[in-house]
Amino acid sequence: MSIARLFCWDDVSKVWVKRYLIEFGAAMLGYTIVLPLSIIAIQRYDLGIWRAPIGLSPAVPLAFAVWAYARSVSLMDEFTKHIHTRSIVFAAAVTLIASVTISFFGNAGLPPLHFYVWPIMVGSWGVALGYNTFKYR
Amino acid sequence: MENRLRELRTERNWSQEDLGKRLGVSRQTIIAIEKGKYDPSLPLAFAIGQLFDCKIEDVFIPTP
Repeated sequence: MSIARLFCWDDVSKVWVKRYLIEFGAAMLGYTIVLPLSIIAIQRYDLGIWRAPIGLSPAVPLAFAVWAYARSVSLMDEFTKHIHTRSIVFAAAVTLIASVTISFFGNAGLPPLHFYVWPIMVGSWGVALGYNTFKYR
Repeated sequence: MENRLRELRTERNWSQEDLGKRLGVSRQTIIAIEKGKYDPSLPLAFAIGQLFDCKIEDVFIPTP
């Protein structure tokens, strides 16, 4: 079974999937280039007033990645959009609950919250998307 | 809501992918509608009725 068939990527879905993979891939490639350059520049050079903008520069390709996803959602057909929306709502709820819970445990000496947010959000989104995709097959 | 989408599609010997292409939706959308797991939007329901040359209520049957 091909990957396209496994994920129900028929001709209609391939339009947004192909576009998304190209745009998201380009954004992540940009991120992998900008992030190390930004870290090296901050560690090795006295950047003066440019320190903050260069330190924040990896956020730009990440913003493009989010834009690529938002654009792909707008190109999806209504049911695919429904599945993705459900998954994002689930991920947001899990992240909210986990963030608040971990904040409570922070007083007991656990690592800072920002270590957890990204993996929890992406992980719960992925689980929900996988579950919803296969549920309706 | 129940529907006669599978019946209407198989009468014409269309695959789920064929029907999806004609309606501009994914095969997964057709699967979900046929299994009664997803109720389509009004524009899609109208498009389905138009494609099969029948009224929406001839395709979709509300369950009490």
